[in-house]
Amino acid sequence: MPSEMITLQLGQCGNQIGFEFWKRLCLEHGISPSGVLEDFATDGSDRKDVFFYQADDDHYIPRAVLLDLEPRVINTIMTSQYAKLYNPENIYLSKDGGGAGNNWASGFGQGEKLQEEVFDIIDREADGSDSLEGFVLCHSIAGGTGSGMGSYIMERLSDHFPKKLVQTYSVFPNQDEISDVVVQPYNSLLTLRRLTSCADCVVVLDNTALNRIATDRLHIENPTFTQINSLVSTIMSVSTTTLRYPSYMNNNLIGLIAPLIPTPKLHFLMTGYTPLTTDLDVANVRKTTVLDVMRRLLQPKNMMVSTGPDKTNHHCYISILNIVQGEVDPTQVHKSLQRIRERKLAQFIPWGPASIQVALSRSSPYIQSSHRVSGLMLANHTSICSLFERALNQYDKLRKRGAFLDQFKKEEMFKDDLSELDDSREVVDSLVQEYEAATQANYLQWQPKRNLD
Amino acid sequence: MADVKAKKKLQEFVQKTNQKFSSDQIMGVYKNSEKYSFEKQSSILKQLFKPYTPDFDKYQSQFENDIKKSKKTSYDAFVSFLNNITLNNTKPQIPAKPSLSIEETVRAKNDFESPVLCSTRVEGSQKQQETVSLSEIKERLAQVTQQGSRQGQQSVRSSSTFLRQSFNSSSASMNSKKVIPTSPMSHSSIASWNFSFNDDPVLPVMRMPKPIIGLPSTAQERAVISELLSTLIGINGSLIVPKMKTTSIDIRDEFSTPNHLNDNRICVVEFELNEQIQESIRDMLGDILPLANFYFQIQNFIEMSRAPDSGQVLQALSEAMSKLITDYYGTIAQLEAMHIKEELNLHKLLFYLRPIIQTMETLTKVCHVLQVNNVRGGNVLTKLHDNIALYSGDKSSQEILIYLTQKASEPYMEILKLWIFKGVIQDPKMEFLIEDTEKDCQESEKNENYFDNFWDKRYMIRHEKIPRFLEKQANIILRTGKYLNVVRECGKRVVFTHSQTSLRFSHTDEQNYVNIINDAYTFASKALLELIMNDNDLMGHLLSVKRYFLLHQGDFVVQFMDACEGELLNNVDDVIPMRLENLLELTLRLSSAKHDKYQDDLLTMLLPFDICTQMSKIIKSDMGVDVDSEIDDTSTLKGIECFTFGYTVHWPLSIVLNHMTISKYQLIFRQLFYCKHVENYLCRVWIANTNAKKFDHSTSELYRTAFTLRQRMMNAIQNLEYYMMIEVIEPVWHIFMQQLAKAKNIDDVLIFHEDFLDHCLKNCMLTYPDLLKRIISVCNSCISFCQFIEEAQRHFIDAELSSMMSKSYLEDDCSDQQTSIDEGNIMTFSQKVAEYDETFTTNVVRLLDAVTEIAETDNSEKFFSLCNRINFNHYYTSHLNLRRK
Repeated sequence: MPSEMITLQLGQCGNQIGFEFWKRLCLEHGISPSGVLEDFATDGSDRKDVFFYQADDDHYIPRAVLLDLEPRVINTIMTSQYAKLYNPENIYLSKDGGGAGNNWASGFGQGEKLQEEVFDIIDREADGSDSLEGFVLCHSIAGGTGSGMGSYIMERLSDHFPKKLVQTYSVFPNQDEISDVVVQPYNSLLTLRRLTSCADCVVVLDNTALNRIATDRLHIENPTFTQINSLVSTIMSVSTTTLRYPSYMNNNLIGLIAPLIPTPKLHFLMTGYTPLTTDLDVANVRKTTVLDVMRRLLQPKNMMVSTGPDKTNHHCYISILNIVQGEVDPTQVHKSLQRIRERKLAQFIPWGPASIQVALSRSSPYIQSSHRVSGLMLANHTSICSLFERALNQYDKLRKRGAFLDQFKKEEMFKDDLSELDDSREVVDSLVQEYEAATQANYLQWQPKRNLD
Repeated sequence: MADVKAKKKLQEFVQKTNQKFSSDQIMGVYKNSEKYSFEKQSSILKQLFKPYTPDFDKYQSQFENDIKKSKKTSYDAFVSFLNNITLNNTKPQIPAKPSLSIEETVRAKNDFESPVLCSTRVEGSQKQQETVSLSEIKERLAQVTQQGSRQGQQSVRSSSTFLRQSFNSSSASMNSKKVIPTSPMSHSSIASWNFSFNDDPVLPVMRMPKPIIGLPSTAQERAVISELLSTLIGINGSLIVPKMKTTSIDIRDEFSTPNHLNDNRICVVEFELNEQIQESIRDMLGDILPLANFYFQIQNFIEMSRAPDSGQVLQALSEAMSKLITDYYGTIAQLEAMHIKEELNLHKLLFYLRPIIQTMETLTKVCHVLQVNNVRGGNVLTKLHDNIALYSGDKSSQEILIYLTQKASEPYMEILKLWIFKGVIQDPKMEFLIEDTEKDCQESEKNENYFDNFWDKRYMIRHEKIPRFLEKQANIILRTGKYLNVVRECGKRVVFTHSQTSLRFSHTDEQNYVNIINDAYTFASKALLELIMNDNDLMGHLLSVKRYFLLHQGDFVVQFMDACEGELLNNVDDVIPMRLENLLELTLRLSSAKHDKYQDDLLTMLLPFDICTQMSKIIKSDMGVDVDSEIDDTSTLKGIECFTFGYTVHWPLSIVLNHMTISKYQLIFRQLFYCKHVENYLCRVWIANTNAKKFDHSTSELYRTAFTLRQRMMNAIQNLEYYMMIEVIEPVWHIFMQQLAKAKNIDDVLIFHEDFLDHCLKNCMLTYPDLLKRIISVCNSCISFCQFIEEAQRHFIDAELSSMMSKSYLEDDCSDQQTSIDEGNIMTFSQKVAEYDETFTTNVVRLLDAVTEIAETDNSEKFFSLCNRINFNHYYTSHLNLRRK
């Protein structure tokens, strides 16, 4: 009766990061690319059954559903050595294979059309687990399939499985480069609305920050997708490590996210990881203690979200969970917390108690780390709203000009009017307002201002 | 009143007549009259009072009449007997120097002891009278008894064993702890080659004094020497007549406490010299005869020590002494040979004997020490060992003592060897320093308590039986055997490789036996540690216990809780234990706990009280209040409050995981489990609340206070859990593991384990009833709030519906309606939330306050970190300040 998680991978980006995630999980649990348990994997204290199930011949199959509207990425996966890992029945490719053309509305519309087939797969997968806890959705918010179809599936999931949690790993577009997807601001805004009202927890993977980290911190001039994705897979695997290597606390998804999310809408989490090194960069190993790790995690440069400078310095942490792995002397945790508290290294909300939780997690015995201690931070920080603000601004710019809307008007949803866009804007705007309000002591009495122009 | 007077009279009488037994002893005989026959009582009366009371017969017949006809008890009769003497004002005639006829003396003496040859007894009979000891009375009494039952046999069978048996029986019947020095000379056998005070019909001729008067001094000297030589080996002579005497000696022995148990009277022999012996020879004899006295006492001691119940140590000692005495015989024989060759005179004799006198004196003193302190077993060795040091100036005496100690310790060392090499006690005479308190315990009686007590109670050190030279090793010796014994009980063979090593006492080379003992100890502790750690996988069990009781396997606990929460939320009396057991089994099978090989040892238990009550019971019972008789009221308790795991522990792991430690684990578990339950409940409410994310912002505002309150509760509970798990249990466990790796023996393991648990208990605030109560009230306020929110959930659904409608085309029509529907509930809802907020905040602040206070006063700095955790961003600081004002 473990708390199983079903992973849904949508679109190009979703399938890519999903692929990296499964690769990583296989390595950590000692499962071969074909799903067979390696001979050395004798330590039975991990929990493979959260993310895998065993077929009749005992080989491990990921609880993953791969969805895409165009075949490119999935074909790459199916020609890789991991091809045999997945249940072929769980791979769904749209028959026409034309993709969503980076159009949210197209993705959403196709999602609606294909829902029966897609939910057949999801239902079957859900029935196959003893006590399903929830879904993990991997997608990007900027494209067509991940954002549009993802949005549709999110809406349906929360109706279809009202008691199950929906967690997403949502990739936000890189702001530092000019995107070839001109309607990206529309796509982002429409997806953000669903993320706000249909997901229970969104782990924000900001491509801007990831690329900056790769160039600035890891000194990779032109980071490839694979390099970025390995960062992402690290975040995804470490953030699930307390589920897979259970210990005292945070052993199911709810126990992991509930303390981080005080009110239902403030559920966008940012992540930080330290020490950041790549395979090429093993020499850059520093002394790492628990305090070092926890202190570094509080530095903005290690955050995987590009929130921009906080000029008024009013943003604050709503909650923090540090997952620390490695050779940790448990007595250090207390000292580190004490130090952080005394030196006021972190600023917290004024309207409720907030603290840093530290989960000491075991890590895979099969992967050698060059670091004594490593840490991942999952944080609910009000400055995340600057990402949404940015999305709103870009949307407003396009919307004012009425640019590129004809593509949308072709689709069913926008045939009559564009109220969906306006509604979405309002939802995202009040989300930004709520985050801003959460920095104030009177958050509990806060009311959103309606923007009716 | 009559008996007080009587007692006083008796005391005076005893004092004046110098009786050798106290008035209490005499009174005792009559008080415990059922143990003495009537005739006996009467005869004692006669012996005591006849010589001093003119018309004794009258009183005696009255005494007899009292008992026989008036059916008085002996004691009453005796009291009135005494009082009669007083009433008649006939004070007993106490002659200053009673000049009794020989016949009378003999009779008096015969009444007390076996007949003695007394043809030469001319004077000193009074002395004899005075020195009659109570023991002799008893022997006499015993003989009388025997006479009754075995008529005719008694005179023939006067073997010492027989008499000693009868003595023992009478001594036991005296009901007295007082140990009276036995004086075996009154019935010593010829075999012991000692002075005989019995009327020996075999050699009456020898007792006739040879006429030596008128002989020239050299001839007289020869005659005396002849007799002297015999006297020196315990043969009664006629010129030198031995006479037994009881005397008090003063042993200056710092180690013996002057308590009443030590009777410092011993028997010595004095010699009456024939009047015809010349003055100069007399003087010489005065120098030599003490040797005969020493010989007599040593022989006495040897004889006594040979008794079967005196123990192996004393027997070995007497054996060693006999060997020395054999040497002494050799010397005497040589002297005799010289005497026959007419090469000996008294001066020469004295010259030859001088060193021997010294040796014999030493031996005698040793005998005195042992006799007076009435020691046995290990104690004998202590006394001997102490005396080695006392004689450090006297080399030859010291050597003798070392020799004796070595010999005497041999059987003791054999016992020790068996114990430290095999873990077996072979100590029939209870001489060894270790006592097996449950020797007789049958296999079937080995219940739970047996194993609980095993470690502490089964083997005990008898502190008074530790030989001085093993004092420092006593604890190690105890452990060594105890360890081996466990190993043996587990069916493993104990093969100590050095078992051929001879373990013996050595004065000069103390290191030798100390090393052997230490080696054995190292071997034993290693063997048992290996048995416990490797063969029985203590580590695995500890990890398993940690997994379940300390919630280290968090996923299992949550799964189990999910499975059985429905059942556990019922009243404890309605919970079906069988169902819990099944659910546990199911969860164990399905969860990650299935990899634990000791999962079957886990059980479910329902106690009839909650954790606060349990803790207060423990505290009360520590204070000596009987808590078992209290009746537990379970009517208000839910299953969850009473639930705990149990753990089956098998021998020999039950040494470590005994009943006590398991109940400590249970206490910690109950605290953690209850917190986990609250957390789980809050999580469930969280999930139920997630549909509010779809709400319109204006609607969700209503619930924000409720959500943030829920979150504050979550924060408090989780921080409490984090604190206990990550800051208390895990670091202490870490230390415990490091210590375990260094543990050299099982006692170390026990101590470390105990420390670990006590540390956890204390820092999880279980040992502070006040804090415990506050924690529970924080938990309970969370639970009641969760119940309220669950109840209110249907209104959420209303709100959800309306929010869904609001986004649709129905928006305008419905918005008014929605407000009106919710109006009634809004007030009560937010008021209710405010109420719960109030309660919860008060409870948390109270807890924080109490924790801080205890942290400050009780030097428990750990507690500060709990406060810092819950109040990390100083949210509660203002509340706290307010409260302190």
